Amino acid sequence: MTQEEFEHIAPTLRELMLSVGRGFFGNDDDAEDVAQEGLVALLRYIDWMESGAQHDALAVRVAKHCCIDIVRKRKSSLFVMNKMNENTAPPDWNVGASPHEVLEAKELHEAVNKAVQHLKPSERRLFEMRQIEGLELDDIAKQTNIAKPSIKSIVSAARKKVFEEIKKLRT
Amino acid sequence: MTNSETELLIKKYLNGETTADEERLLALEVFREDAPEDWKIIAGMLGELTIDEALFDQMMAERRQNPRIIKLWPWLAAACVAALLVIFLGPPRDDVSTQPQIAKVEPQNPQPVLKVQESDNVKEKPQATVTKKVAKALRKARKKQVAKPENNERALIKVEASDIIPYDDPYMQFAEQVRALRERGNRVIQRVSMNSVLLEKTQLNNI
Repeated sequence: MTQEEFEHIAPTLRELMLSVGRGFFGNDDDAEDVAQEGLVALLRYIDWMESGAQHDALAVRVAKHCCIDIVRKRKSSLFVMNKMNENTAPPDWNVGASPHEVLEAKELHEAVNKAVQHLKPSERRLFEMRQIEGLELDDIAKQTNIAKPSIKSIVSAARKKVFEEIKKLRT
Repeated sequence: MTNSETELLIKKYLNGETTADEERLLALEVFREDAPEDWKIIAGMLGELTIDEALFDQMMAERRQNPRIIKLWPWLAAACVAALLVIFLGPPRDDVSTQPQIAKVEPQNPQPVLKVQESDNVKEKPQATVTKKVAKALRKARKKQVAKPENNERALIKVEASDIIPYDDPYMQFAEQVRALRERGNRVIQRVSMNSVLLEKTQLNNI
């Protein structure tokens, strides 16, 4: 998706994220923060987002992530988060975590990224559709025109490969 | 969720058979700090978006379970404070118990007046002396009342020779007698009302 295409759909996605923020925090100020941070986070997915496809589910997931992130930052509590994508999760976002926990999370995140890059393109695409967008099997089938049993087997193979590779890397 | 159930869900996840809801449930389980190494890898594979979505949904579900109680607490507290303010800062009410309730009694039988009228042959005295005598007679009657509380109201209205007040002007005499009678009547009514004793109408008439 190009930047212009993203700017075209941004107001709709912003409204969606505002409603998620309002529902969670109950006020407009925090909802605005959620929408603002959510749009910035969505911009990082711009290369992954397909033109013409619906990205409402992704926007809602990102908005929910931003809500929890804001709460986490405010509480400054200890959270060992597993970062899948450094772009969506900058190193300083895990406020309050010990240096060891931050380092461990970073290592795991790098290992997952490395393992995902070793997947076949079709495996990687379906793996990320489940992992990032959280799409159900039916939705993936509609978007990709791939039969559901095939999607299941491809996703299963991709997950097992990633799991085994991370296990090797960490031992 | 037990460990074996989590392990089963992990197998299902690796086989690509889990739904989005099951993956969110799994995310909450493997996200724990004390999770085994394999579980941490699964948490990493599920990704931060899945974990945060699971946390978000969990928090919203907890809020939905008891939203009314949380919202009602401030209102209940405010209502209690308002009630206390009304009770303690409101204007004081008249103390009804300290004020005797006096019923208006119309003397239907003016016999005592007639009794007093019998003493017409007493010599003339100034007005101040008459008032003093009336006051003296009233004090005397009151003393008798205090000394003999067991006597009924008939003793109070007994007219002795010393109580008879001479008047030259019949109008003044009548007025003074009416005033004295009214005072006595009021006193008796006060006593009756204070003792919460209901007197018969006939008794009041006799007074």
